[in-house]
Amino acid sequence: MTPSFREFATARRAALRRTAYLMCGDWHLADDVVQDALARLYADWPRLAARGPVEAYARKVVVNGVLAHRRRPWRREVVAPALPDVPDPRSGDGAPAGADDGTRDVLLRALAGLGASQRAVVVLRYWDDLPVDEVARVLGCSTGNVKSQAARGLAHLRDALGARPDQEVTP
Amino acid sequence: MTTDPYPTDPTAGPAAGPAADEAAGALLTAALGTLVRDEPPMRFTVEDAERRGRLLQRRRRRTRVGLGAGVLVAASGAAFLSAGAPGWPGAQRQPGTALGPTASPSQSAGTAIGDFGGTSLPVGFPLNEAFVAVESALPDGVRLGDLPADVAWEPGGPGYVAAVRVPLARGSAVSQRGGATLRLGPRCVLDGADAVLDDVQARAVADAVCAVWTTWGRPDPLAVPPAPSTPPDPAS
Repeated sequence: MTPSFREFATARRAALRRTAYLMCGDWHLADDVVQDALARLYADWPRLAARGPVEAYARKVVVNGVLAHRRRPWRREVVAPALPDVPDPRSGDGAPAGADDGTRDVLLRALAGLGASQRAVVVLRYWDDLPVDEVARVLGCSTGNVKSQAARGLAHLRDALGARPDQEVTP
Repeated sequence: MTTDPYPTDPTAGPAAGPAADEAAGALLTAALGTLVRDEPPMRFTVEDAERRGRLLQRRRRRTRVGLGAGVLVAASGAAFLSAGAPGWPGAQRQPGTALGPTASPSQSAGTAIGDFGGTSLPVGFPLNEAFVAVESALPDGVRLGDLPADVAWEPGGPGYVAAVRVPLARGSAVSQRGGATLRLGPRCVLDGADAVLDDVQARAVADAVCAVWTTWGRPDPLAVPPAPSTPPDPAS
């Protein structure tokens, strides 16, 4: 039986928000994107619910929302003359609870080093645990593209984390 | 034979590749989990999303209505131009030159051209324009009587383009059946109104109708546009 919009939104909004956050690295933006996606879902709910499971469509709207936001001119990253302050992992300053070993920052920087679509592939493939063909459907690209992007993204993250002996990703 | 450089099926690639990727993927999943472990509270509720969804629905509805109106206006404009606006040389027709069948009696307000999504554009000289002009020119105490259901433009007779019967009444008394006859031509006249109007008043009424008819380009009220399938006449 198809859930109501409220049931769906209550059950899935947190997961969608985490996916959005991992793609953009900003909880506020993730909130905006997910709320926007849920509003669109609400507006089309009768049609979408009649078509079948809404989860894939919701994920697609969220992913497209993050990618579209990054494409907006006022969001483009600019080169700064000086490097922004980076918290020292040993000091614990600015590091959230449970991530005081610096892994979090290293991973965030490594993720930020990926291209937007490559990051989307990595998040959908390894965080949402979607099969390759499902990731390809969400991103509107070929399965070959997803596989290559996932492999390159994984290699990039492996290199980034490989610098830390305690977080060696390579088995 | 080609080898998939990024195999997902363990049987498809080198023996160590998929297993290594799987393990690395599992580690990456765990590492990503650390990033969302300290998730801040959500800044919106489901009710907020519903409210924005309702606003979106309303905005879409307004856009649809606006687009519909735009299409209607564009279609009306195109039809208006293709029919020839009043006052344009193409809209002028010689008196008595019939372009097709005459108006049927059921047409109470002139003839109409085409049906563009429910909008019909009048061609010729609509009856209601003539009656409004008559009514505005009538002196005090005289009014338009009840119009018969089959009121329509008729041939005007020699020297006139068209005619229509105009029932006139003074006070509560209704004029005799048929009433006066308004004829459009080089000079408009109102005949048979002697019982309710004197000559000057009748002249004023006829001139008022003539003035309105002139603003329309003095079209032939009996003219009916050619059928849409009729090919244009190359000679014209």
